[in-house]
Amino acid sequence: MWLWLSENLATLVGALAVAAVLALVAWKIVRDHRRHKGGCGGGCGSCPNAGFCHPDAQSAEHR
Amino acid sequence: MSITIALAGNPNSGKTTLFNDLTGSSQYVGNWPGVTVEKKEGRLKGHKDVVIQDLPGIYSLSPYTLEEVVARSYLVKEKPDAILNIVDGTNIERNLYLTTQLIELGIPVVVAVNMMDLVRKNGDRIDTNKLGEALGCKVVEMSALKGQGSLEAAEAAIAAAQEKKQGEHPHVFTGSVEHAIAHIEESIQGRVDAQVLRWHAVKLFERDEKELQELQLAQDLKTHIEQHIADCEKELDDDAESIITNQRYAYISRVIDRAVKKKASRHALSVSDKIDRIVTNRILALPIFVVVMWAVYTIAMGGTKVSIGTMATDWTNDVLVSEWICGNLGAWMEAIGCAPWLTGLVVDGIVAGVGAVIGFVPQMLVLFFLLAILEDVGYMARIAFIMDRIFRRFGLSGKSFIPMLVATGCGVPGIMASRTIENDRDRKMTIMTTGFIPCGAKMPIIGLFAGALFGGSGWIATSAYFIGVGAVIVSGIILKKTKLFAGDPAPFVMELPAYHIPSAKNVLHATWERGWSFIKRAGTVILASSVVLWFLQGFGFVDGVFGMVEDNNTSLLASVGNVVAPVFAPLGFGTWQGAVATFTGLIAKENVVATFGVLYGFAEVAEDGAEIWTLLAGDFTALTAYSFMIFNLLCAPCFAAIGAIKREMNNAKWTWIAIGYMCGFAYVVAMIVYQLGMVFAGHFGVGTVVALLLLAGLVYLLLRKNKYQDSELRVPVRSVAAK
Amino acid sequence: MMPLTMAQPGQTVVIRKVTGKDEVRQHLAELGFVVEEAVTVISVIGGNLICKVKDSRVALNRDMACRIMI
Repeated sequence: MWLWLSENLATLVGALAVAAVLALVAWKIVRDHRRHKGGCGGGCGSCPNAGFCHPDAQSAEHR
Repeated sequence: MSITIALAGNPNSGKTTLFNDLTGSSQYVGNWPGVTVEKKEGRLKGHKDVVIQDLPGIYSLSPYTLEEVVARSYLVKEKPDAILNIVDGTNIERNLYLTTQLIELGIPVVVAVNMMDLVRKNGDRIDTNKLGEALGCKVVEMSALKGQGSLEAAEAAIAAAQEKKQGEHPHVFTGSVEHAIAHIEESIQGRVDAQVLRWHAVKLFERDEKELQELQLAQDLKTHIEQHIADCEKELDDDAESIITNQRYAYISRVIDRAVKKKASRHALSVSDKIDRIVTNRILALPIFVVVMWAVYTIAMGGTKVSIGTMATDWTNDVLVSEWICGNLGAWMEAIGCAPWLTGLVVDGIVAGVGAVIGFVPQMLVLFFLLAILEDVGYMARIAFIMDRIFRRFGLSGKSFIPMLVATGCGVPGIMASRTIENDRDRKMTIMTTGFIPCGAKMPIIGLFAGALFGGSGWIATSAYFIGVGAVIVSGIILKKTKLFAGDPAPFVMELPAYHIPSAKNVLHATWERGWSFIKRAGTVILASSVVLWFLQGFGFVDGVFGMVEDNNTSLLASVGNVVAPVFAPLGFGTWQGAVATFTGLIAKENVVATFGVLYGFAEVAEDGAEIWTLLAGDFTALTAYSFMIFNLLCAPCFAAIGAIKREMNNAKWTWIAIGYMCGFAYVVAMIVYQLGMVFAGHFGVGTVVALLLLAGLVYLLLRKNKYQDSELRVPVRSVAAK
Repeated sequence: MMPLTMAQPGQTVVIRKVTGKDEVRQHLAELGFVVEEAVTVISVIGGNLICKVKDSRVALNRDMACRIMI
């Protein structure tokens, strides 16, 4: 078993690294979705239409 | 105990710049009305307990537009401790109109005259002391762009809030009007706070609908008040609203006479005006627009000597990705003994997919930069006005064009921007067609094919933009003739800000924001999609055995793709690769490029890094490439945008209609292009006949009589004077 | 009296009346289009025009401009 480990160490480490990256990506996507953010990927602070993505109860009034 | 200071003022008066200055945040400063449509909060720098509220730009506190309603509700209901009223010094007469209303609210007001640097440059003089005396509140000078006076203005507002002293109400109204208002005040005394008594009374005099709704007065009280108003109207021979408006302006005139000295003749044309004479000239306007957009897309994505975007992208692809990363990373992984599947996953999957997209970052950055400059300079506002003439022909107003301007960055805020369109039908139509405009994410698709099959010509990108605009116009014409959408367009009234030298800070900031979001998406969504794609195209059933495949034509992905591919055969790209790429575009449009990267082995180490181009050119011809581009450009947008459509439509049926329409339209147009293009190559078959029929159908829909248009005789009145 | 659409680019005229009694007219008034106010026409394109009123630059489409009588 140790022989197998040492032979495939590089692969294991690499695979773990890739898995970690994928997990990070998945978590980020889910988190953004929960916070109703992104869509365009940018932060709303400097989007010219920040007012549109986060409507208030008031500004959502339609005349 | 925390103090709240509200920022109120006309659109384009510098409120948001001031807000950024005071709170240290970096809210975007847009250049056309409708940029801020909700209130934004922030803490004053250096003062822990002072909150600054940025309100949407408004011309008055009447209840006619969304922005006004938001601002007004906030001021009346939530009663901030003080109002910091930003007034544009170069435009002071109109700006003070709002000021007179704000003072009536009974909340301490501090007036900050902004753009003093421009005022001085024009040679005008504003005496802030005299102005303050006349208005009954403190007046300070400011130049938000230069960063002068902002904190002093805030400090003045804080002081005013703490003193809690209402300014003495200036004598705005005269004679019988004042008389009537005093009567109304008496009548409603006790029903509202003493602080806002005057404001409510004036609003009632104007017969403000929202006021009547909210105050819910008893019928006999209403009649009593109505009597006063009617008497006044009779005496002055005008209606109540006009009376108030005129008296406000008369009052402002008196104030200006005392406190402001103007140098130049008001009617001389300024530099901005002279530019406008040319840019909005009836003959030159559209050609200038075409040239400007062509220049933008050519510099960013063309193949000429000034196309810095493409040059940088080529370097990125050839050097950075192919040589440094692919070559070295692949070799290194093998050297340390990684299993070939892992190497394959990383190099042929992740790096190939993400690398294909990242390669376009330079082009995107240049594009975003140029678009940001156009926005900041003020040109985009003029475009909306120019397009109004065209849009009006088929029943939309120029206001519908603003979301499309926004959509050149990302479709999501573009779709959201349709909220400013009050007319429900027009809004729905705008939402449905905004997706046709090429967003930042669709550009790599165009860039890829432009490079592979069209010699990197800037015309491809330019034509893509105008095809998008054309699709909007054609859709508008067709839809407006259907029962669902018929109706007259809204009037178009828009204030155009003066042209000014673009602010480096704003432009760079906007460019970076969009660019960074592009990169972030590459590293997340695209990366994940690339991994999945790599698996699906690298594994399949060979002779009944599941395992890695050498030739990806036998992979799982190919099997699935081949089932769907025939759908696209009439369009010229009935290959499984084309089908799969199109579908991955639903997740994010950049995925189309990433998919091609993975499928065509972008990571194959090549001396010139252009290997993917050659492979692409093998599977696509110029015609099929163009047809593919058109389809992907016009069909349903990415999930994020679809989500935005759903949110804005608030209705599942309409969301499906929108998506269905976009896909259908894309399919028809792409088919027509491909089939008719094939005629030139000598092919004439069933497909051609179908395409011709579809084309005939389109033309019919475009040209048929609009039975829903007003039956009044429309006599085209040509302006006699206009040359 | 004639509508604003008949004015020449470059011409400065005085408003005599703004027709209609609705919110659009009030909106125009709030932008500065009131009786006795001077308006300078900057550019006309197909009936839509850009004009200067009270020092600010406003774009109007033809329907709106027709309601402003000079």
